[in-house]
Amino acid sequence: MKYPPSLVALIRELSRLPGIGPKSAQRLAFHLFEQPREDIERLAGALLAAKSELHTCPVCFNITDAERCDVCSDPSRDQGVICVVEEPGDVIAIERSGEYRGLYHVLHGVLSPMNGVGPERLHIRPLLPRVREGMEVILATGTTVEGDATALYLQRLLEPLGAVVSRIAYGLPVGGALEYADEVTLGRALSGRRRVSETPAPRPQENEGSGPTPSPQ
Amino acid sequence: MRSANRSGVVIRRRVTPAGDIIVTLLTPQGKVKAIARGGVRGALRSRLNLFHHVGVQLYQTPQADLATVQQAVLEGALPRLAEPERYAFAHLMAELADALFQEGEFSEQAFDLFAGALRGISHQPDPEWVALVMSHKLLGLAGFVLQTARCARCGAPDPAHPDPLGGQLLCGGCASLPAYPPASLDFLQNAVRRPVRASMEHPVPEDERPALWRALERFVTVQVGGVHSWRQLVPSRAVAQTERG
Repeated sequence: MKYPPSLVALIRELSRLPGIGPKSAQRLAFHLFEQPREDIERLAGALLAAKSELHTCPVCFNITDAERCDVCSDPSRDQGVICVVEEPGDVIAIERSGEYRGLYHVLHGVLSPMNGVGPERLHIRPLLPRVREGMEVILATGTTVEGDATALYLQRLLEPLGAVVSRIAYGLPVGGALEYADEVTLGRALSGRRRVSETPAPRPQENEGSGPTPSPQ
Repeated sequence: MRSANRSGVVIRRRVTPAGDIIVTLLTPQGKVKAIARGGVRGALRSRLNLFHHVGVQLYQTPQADLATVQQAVLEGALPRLAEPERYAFAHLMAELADALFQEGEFSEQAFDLFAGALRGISHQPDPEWVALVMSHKLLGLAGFVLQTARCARCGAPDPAHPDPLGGQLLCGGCASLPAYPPASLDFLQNAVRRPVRASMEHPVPEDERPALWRALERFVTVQVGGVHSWRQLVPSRAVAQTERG
């Protein structure tokens, strides 16, 4: 027995979604078929609305449905510090920490020559006019080789502009035991160690423009 | 179902939306492609990084296309490869190795040459020259050697001019471009058979290298296939100036 063409089309479209294989797509298609018509219309409406209303913020390239994103249009955010991240999802992750009140800049990727991604494919050029002398730029790209390479590239680009460039710290997760830490993380944690006796770093709300705490090395 | 231990360098790494890491390793036993399921959330994420030398335990079932990475141990890493002046060259080496060597094709020599290329790009003060020399050595090992004794078009002896289409050498009668300078010509004629150490001791002057890169790019594109890293092989200083401009 063959599936009706409309069901085949639905399965095919669902299986194009990331993380959805043909079997999952088939399950989802049957699940959708069982749902009331209004639920399906709501889902289709949400998909179309998201596609038509969402766009990238022209300043920081985060995803927004307004003219500018919430962070860029909030005057209470610290205008003296920009956190550079790879993807819009990273902004959400940092916001969840509640430790950062500055601005963002989303690159939408990392440098990867073998995948044809060079500086011109990332939102690097619009970052440069945003950086003023004395401003802090936190490079919060991933801790992969590609993330490190992108951070080093940006560092060489931004420091001549007078920016104070810092890199997010590497190290052990909170609550993690040394015994179970992998050797790479442990090595980075040791090389980036901090003196215990130094004055605690101020809370971001008090002084967000300050540079990174220097390592004893 | 079978399990195997392999030691190799990660030459490709891709994270799927489901959080799996798909890696390609170059090992002395050939190229291996494997998947670390849920890898981005576990301890494997830091070990299965690009250019890391890792020891992996793989598990292959007859039904699965890809072997599964069960364990990974870091055996070596070259953090300086992330530096802008070295990064693109390391990518070029990895991309060439991926294109030139096939799965199941045993070649300890290919692994040693590739690992040596990465070490040289990481540590040598002139990574561009290391990349040029080692690209030719890798191509030579895979059987792709420039025809230097005779013109690539008419077969005339002692060609010395660039071939803008195929990256080979042409005679004066067939060529539209001026002849290579002596150092560049000597490099092209002897890069494959000369030991790496000897080539490293006599680098071609920097102003002659753009022509060598163009020739290599044409040769690889025609003989092997498209390689993406060429576009990034621009000195980082020039890129920085472009970005600022």
